[in-house]
Amino acid sequence: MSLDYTKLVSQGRAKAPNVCWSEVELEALLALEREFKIPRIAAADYIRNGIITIEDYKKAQDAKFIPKTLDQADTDKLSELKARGEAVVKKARKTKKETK
Amino acid sequence: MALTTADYTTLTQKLNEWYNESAVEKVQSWIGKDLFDVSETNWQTYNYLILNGLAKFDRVAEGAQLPVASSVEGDSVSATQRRFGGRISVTKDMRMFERYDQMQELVRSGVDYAFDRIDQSQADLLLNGFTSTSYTDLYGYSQSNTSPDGVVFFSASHSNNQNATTATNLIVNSAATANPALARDPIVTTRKAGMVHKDPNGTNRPITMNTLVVSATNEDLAERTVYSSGVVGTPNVDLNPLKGKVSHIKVWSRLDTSGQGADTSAYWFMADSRNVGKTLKSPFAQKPQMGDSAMVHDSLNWEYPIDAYYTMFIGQPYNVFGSKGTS
Repeated sequence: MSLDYTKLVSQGRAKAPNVCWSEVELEALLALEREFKIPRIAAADYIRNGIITIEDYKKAQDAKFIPKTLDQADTDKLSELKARGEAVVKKARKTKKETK
Repeated sequence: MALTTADYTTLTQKLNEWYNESAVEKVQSWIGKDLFDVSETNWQTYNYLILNGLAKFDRVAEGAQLPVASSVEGDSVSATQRRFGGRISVTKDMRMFERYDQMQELVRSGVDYAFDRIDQSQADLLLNGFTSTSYTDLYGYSQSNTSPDGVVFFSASHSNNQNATTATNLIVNSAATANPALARDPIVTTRKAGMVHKDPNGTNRPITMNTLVVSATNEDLAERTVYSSGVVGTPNVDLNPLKGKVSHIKVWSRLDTSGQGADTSAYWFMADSRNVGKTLKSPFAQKPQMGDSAMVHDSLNWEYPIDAYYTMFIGQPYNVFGSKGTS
């Protein structure tokens, strides 16, 4: 059985593709939406960033914290992967030069 | 006289007769088919879409155009058919000495087991519908237990595709405590919750909770609660209003212990008998059937396969309410 995760994630109704909200996360999501009148999709980003209580959300607001979106996280993850490979190659080149 | 290779057809005919007799008996006791939509399909992947809309019915001025009802697409789910089966083996000894008693028992046992497993797997979809997002089914594979909105089957926070409203299908009592034990109070509360149910457009779409689904353990309690002429457990002379309103009690022994081995005898459910099949979906590409035999060359056994194709998923969740019966 498979759900339409593209739609669910884009509406903040699933955590990520193939990952549903846990009960705690779902309750937190609805609480943020209800208490602060923010759209579900915005609340979802806070939950994904580990801000799962009303108190946490207030603190995050005070600190002017901007949650990372899933798209940004994906882009960062890809950049990180690329950087890891590049670092190894760079290191290998450097070692080769020093040996010569 | 021993059954020889030339008697394949004769024996297959006899086995099929026994198969059909047993299958008829098992289908009668298959409670899952009364609750699930077990219709036949030829789709390998079954696509299901919730339609929330068709919310236009307005006053129209003389000669004016009727407003268009836009069926707003709701959440969707797809489920792929899976094959299940087994073989029964008629040995050379059985044929040599014409042990029809053993052969008949083999067929009956094979049929019973196939239907028992299907019925239990369907009960498990309800029994595992309270936590997590999937479980290991009795066949050892992962089965999702979320409704198309990505929320576990029985939840107070079902979402929709149109707006931020939520709806529930979790049984509570009049004090709003979730998962109450089977009693008159939560039955009354659930009937009310069903009647005031609103769709995402805000339109009241009453769900008539007229079916009580209980384990064998709760059979007596359920029947006394619903069928007693007076209000159960009270000395007064009030008539029992539930009598007649809850018109079906399904006693489902598969609810007593889940396919995962947990004691789930306190779990109980209420459903709308007219629409329950919109929630509990189990399309079959092939109902259990017995095929022709083949001879195994090294043992000379004649093997008869029994197999079926089916799948399970949750559709629109609101036609079934559930409780773990723990509080």
